[in-house]
Amino acid sequence: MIVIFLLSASVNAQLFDSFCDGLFNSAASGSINPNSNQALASSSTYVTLMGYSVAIVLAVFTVLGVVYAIAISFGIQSLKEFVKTELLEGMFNIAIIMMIAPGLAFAGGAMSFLSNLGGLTVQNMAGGGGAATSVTSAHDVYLSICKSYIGTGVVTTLPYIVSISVTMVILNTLHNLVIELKPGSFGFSFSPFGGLDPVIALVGMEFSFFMLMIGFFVAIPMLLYIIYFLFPIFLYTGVFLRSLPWTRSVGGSLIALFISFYIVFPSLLYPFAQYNAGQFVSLSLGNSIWDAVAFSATTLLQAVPFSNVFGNSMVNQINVFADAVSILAVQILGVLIAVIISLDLVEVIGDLLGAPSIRSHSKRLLSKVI
Amino acid sequence: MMTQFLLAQNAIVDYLTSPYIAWFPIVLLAATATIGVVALIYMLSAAVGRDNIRIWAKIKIYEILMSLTLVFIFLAISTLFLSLNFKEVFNSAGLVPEACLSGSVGNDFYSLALCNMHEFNQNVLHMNELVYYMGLRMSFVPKLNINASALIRSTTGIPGLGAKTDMQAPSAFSYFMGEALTLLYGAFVLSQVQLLILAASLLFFSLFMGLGLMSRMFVVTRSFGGAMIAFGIGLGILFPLMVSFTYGYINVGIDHLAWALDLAAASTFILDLIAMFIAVIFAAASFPGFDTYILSLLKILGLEIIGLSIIPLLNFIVLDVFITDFSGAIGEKINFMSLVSNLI
Repeated sequence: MIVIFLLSASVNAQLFDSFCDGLFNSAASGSINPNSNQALASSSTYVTLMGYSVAIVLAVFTVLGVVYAIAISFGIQSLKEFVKTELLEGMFNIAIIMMIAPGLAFAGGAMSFLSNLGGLTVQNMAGGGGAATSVTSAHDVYLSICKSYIGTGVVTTLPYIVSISVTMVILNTLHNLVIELKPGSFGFSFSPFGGLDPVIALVGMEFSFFMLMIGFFVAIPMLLYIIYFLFPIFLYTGVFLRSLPWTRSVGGSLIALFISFYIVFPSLLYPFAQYNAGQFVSLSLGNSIWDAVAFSATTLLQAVPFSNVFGNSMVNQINVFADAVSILAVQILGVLIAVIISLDLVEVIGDLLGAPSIRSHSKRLLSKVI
Repeated sequence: MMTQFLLAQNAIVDYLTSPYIAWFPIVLLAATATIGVVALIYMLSAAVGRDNIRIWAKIKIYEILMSLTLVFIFLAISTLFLSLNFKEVFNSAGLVPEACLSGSVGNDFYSLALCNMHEFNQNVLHMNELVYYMGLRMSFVPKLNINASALIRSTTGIPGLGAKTDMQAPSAFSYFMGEALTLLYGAFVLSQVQLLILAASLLFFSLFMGLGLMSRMFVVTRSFGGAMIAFGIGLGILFPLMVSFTYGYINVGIDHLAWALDLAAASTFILDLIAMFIAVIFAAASFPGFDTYILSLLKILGLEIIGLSIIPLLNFIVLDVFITDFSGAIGEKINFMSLVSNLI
């Protein structure tokens, strides 16, 4: 909490751009795990594994040839059918290996296609998505989402934390004010701003909410960071395991996880993140120290008993706060939609690649759509 | 705790293959006995002219021979896995944290996984310590007492008239600090539980593999044996490998930023606080060192939160996928996650 509070004091957009660069650019100065990131993201790391996969598939072909000869010699029809099925599976494996051998370029192509579709939709929407730009690779999508959440979401929200903190200090100080009239140590005292309780509660709620908002906007890029660097190994391991007959279904599951969470999940999140970038522009909650003082002074005037000064600062505050809540709600909705569709897609691909562990149980959303 | 595990680890690695080897003659005996019985059935079926029983007996003999082949294959794979230098393999991809490169940590994947899990828990503990430390330092932030009574009395001349108030840091700060500590400590305890499960994975491997391979020799327990083998490989090999890979990645990331967890850095950081606020109020300059410190801390926190939430989930999903699919391929299909949730 203190970290975020202090972070709010040092906020600037350039600083947070370096945060995203540190996450997704292995060569950036602030990069986390520069060595392992370069190793995990490079297709050359997996060349040996792919070599083993090809060797296993070829070995399986050889065995199948022998089995087919036996099947023909003894006239066993079921064995012939088995060999034909296995041959097709083997050829499918070779096709997958050929496709991913150059690296993850195919994933980038699919992602840029999906993301640009979503991005264009957002660009065409009135009032939002001004920041949507064309992406050409997986890296662009991940970095763009991160910069939208961090560079726009966090950078805009953090000054509110400063403003709200100062407001809390001012209002609490006023709330604690006691005026005494005790001649001869006997008399009375009263707190003229004791009635600020509802305002303090509102500001406290805003503080909690903005903390939650920042937590969300930081957590999603961290999740994407893990997906970006760790999930490629699922693809390569999946292809390797798919080449062995006993572990074919396990391999299929891992490939399904990769496609759904590495390619589809961020692609679906991308338009929401762009929408987020567009909407923050319209958020006009006071975000400076002086805004905090002004708001406190206005609420103070409203709280003075019998003052009859009824400004609209509270109404404005609540309205803008509701706007901020709606922005977060849209983002949470986006994440939920992306997760649900990705999970459904895992089942669809699981069915396709023969993975019983993630095969659907007739409740799948996509099966009804496709 | 780590030392105890590693000491136990050496004993367990020796112990690991012993039941396997001890059960091996029993497996051979069981296979021979079963083949004998099935061969008898085969001969009887030929004598009474029942072709269907003859074919059944033939298939069963093939299956037992196949199971016997599996025993040899798994024995070879187990020996190979235990002899491989996983530390070197993982280190070549930059996935071994500094503390696990020490010679006292074995080169096998069990030791590597245990070390990674332990290191991650230690990192979480350091973060807890830092939050606690900062919370303590916050308590030294003075409350400003503003008492204007004397001034008012001297100005107005009215005896007993006065006004006073306190200016203090909002209580929401301490509240969030407390919540953060509670969450981090709760997650730390769960993470320690994961370490214990990981340590037991050797025993799971030993138990389930032995049981599975032996069960596969008998006609009626063949599918059960397949399921046990899937359990053994999943819990005993795949789970430690996943932990080494995922937590290795997280730990190496934290290693790069570890300086920010240092309490001395935190002290400077707190002292800078006042200067920072004054600077911000007057829209003054930025503080590059301070910014780097904040961002590093935020990244560590993010890595730890992911390590405490998403990573265990991911590991268990992959484990579930493997056990379910592999058990289906070599025996009876079992749903690992459903089994665990039912048990819980």
